[in-house]
Amino acid sequence: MSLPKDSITKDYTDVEATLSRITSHTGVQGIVIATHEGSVIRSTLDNIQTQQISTLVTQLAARGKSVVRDLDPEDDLTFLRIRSRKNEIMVAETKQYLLITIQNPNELQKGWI
Amino acid sequence: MDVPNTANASAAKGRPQKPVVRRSSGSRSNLYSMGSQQRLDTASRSRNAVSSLSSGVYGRGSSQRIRASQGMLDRTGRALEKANPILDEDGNDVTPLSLLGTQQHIQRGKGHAGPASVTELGSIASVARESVADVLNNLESITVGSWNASGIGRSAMMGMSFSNTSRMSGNESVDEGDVLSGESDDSGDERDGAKRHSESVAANVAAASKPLTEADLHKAVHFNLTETSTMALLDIPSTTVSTDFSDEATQVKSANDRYTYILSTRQGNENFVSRSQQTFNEPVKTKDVQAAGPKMANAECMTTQWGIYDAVTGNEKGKLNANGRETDIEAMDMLASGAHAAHLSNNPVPLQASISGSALLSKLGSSMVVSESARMSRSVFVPDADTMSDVFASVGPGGRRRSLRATSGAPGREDAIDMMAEVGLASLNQDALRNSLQVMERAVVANNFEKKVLQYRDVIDAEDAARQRAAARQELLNQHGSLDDITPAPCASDKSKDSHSMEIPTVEFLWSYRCELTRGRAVAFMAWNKQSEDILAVAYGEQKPGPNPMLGLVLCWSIKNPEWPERIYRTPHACTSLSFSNQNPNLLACGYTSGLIQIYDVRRPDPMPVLSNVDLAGKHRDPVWELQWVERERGDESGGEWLVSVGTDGRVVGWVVKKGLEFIDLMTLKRVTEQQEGKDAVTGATTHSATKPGSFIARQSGGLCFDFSPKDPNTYIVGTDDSHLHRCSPSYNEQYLQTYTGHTGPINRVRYSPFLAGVFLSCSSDWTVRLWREDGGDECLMRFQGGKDTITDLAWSPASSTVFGCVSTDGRMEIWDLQFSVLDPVILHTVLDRQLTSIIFAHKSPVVLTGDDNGSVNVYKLKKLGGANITTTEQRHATVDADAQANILKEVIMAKNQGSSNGQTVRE
Repeated sequence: MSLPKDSITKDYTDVEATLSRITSHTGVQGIVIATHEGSVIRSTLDNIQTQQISTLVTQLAARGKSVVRDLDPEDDLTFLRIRSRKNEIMVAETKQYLLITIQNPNELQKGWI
Repeated sequence: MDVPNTANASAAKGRPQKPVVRRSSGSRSNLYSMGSQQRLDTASRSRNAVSSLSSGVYGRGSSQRIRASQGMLDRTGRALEKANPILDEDGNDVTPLSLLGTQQHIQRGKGHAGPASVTELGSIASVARESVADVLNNLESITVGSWNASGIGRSAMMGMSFSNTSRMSGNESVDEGDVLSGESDDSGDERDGAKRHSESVAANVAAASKPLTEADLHKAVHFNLTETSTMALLDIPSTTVSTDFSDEATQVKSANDRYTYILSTRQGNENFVSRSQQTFNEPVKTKDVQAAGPKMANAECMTTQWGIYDAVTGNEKGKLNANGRETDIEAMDMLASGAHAAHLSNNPVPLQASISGSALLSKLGSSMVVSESARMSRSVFVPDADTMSDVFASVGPGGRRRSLRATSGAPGREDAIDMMAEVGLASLNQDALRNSLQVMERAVVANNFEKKVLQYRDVIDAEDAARQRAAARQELLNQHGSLDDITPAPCASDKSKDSHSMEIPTVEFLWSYRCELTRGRAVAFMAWNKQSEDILAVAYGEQKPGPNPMLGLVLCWSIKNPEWPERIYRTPHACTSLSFSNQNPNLLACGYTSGLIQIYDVRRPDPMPVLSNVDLAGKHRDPVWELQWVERERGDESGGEWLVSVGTDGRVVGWVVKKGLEFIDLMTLKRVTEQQEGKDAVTGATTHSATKPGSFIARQSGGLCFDFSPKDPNTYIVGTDDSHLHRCSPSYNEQYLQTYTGHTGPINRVRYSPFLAGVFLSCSSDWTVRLWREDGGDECLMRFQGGKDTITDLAWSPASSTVFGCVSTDGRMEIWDLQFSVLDPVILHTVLDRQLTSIIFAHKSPVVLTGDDNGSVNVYKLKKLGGANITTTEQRHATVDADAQANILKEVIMAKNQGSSNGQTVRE
């Protein structure tokens, strides 16, 4: 169990491992990694949803980024969370891509101790 | 008709004369009156002489001079023309034509062609006279009648005159003399020398004329000038008003006056402007120019404030963007070149697929670099769709989206960007991706753990509180049955309820720090980070014997992510102890079963330790059981810190972190023998052999734990595996200051009370926890036993001086509160099937953590702990009054002492 983790392309597997870990957390519907233009690099959702999410959320993130930078041009957007009744959309933004996670935080209520 | 006598007179003289009657030209009035008939001397042969015949002729044929000439009247038509041609100023024949008929004239003209005698002339004249009158009457009637019907009249006249003029014009070249002479002979009248006749007429005339003779030339020529009657063309009679009728008369008079006034002032009056107007309708000439319109291109740009900011300052950023992108793509190129041999092969390994994708990328070269202007999307250079599909067909099953693209068949940007996507995560900046993922994971997990973390922090969840209040109110309603009692009651009953339930302290399980890495490993040690208690370092011992044993593990957990540790350090040996530095909170010292001590810097995820004492001679030879960073007070280096370790080899070593680890032997633990009588603290630790017979196997006893006194950094207690506690000082490295005996098993932990000086607890494998006093002899003050198993760890509560916790190998966690009871723990929590190996309290939260032998660290919330003096939330959050706490403990101890002095022996 521990040995394969010390493999050569550790960076890559770290990222992969983290991705799979995040996906396995309770309530997570899916993860999409997309570019700023809206094209998809990685996704754990089905195609239609992925397309929808990538286009809509990139626009939303661009809008949020615009707001943040309008307020202070030296600032920049790093994280954006939108919570709705059913879901929470979390967007981590970098220069190259957007990391989008959809989670349903209400799933946990039943398992609460 | 008047015949001017002068003309006759001159004619009678018989001299050829040139009476030229010039009509003034340009006079308009001539239009309105018939001009006098003119007979002009034809013998003058001067065209110019008669050129002034025009009388305001506006054009050659435009206006008609209604004149009748005798000559014309002679023959009533052509004959008359020939007799008295009338010429305008230009010498054109404008003789009015007879309207009576032309044929007759022509014939007549023929007949009478040739020079005519005077007599004939006279006869013709008389004839002309008659006919003139007729013609005139005719003309008058016609013209007056037709004046209104101007078009008709004019045209008729014009027609006549046109024919006349045409004839006239045609005759220009004709020799005047012949014509004129012929005509004069014919008609016998004086004739205008410049008059022109049509050739036919002239010819007729000439044909019919007799040849001129000398005598003829000297004959007297008679001219008769007669004036035609006046023709009124416009007649507006004025109305006269009799002055008798005063109304009209005054009106008319005033009007007349006004008119005269106007006339008088007309000259310089601005109201009157003499202006002639003629609209020249110039012919229109269209001119076209055709040109190609300038090509317009729309360029628009939308920008925002930060766009401008970027443009002004952020060229470096932009370059970085492009560079970052380019370096990634270059990195891919290098990857590609490295694996070039395998490119475009059907290799199912995903990594290879990504490399082949990047090979394509490198093939396309720099054209694929999307220059990234952060705000505007540009179009990406797109290779041929065919080549793309070919390449991707050859890419192995790594391309999940390959089929998608093939079916969609959409060329353009999508393909290019998809291709970049095809390269996969490897193309992205790995560090940034890792960070983003980390943050994302924390966010996701935080969502899941939200309520629990709130409890951890001891924050009252507002929603929960509201819900509870509502529920309580509902219950009250049910109980009391009416609304009246509710208003005063709820507060009181709430409080009573609270106070009632406040009495029973409990622990509530929050969560557990564990992951698959830790499965099967026993928690050896736990330590908080001194700077932030959100970070917990846990040392894991060896895995349970299995296929892949051994590798030690140290994990740093953060409360932000209880599901995965922040730092993972794989260690060569099992780690047995940990400690964070006080002064440099990023330094974590770990001790191992091999005696190795390593120091990690947790700021970096680098798994390599910063310092290690591998090579040092002074390292322990046996497992290091406890490590602590201790402030040391030396004269020259006050405030410095050193790392103290104790191990099974019986040494207490102090390490100083300078250029490396330098060690100082603080103490060598020597075996102490039990002596029958009261011990002498100092001399009991000599190397003298004991009074007991026999010798020791080892001169040193292994040290299992130690603790420095918080009040006095020069004192520390060491617990050994031969059940002795020794109080020592760094100044003395040969002798113990005092030895405490009482335990019957190896001492697993010794801890000073954080509140009361000189009081410490110890726990051992003899199932007991004992409370000691430094200066209380070597008998323990109190002894606590909750169960029948080894107490592996104990910890004081930082919030309350009388509270401490301990864990044992049978899965029991006990929280003792000496204020309540010294016989039983206040809280007893059992975890089945687990051995609990360590316990720590959190300083800032009412939380206790326990580690078990299966690798999980459980977090419990302490509820309603702390006794009667902490009942409300305000008191709970207040800073702990150390002195007060110390006093409490002191009182407890004294009370106990009194109790014990009543005869109970504490020592067992």
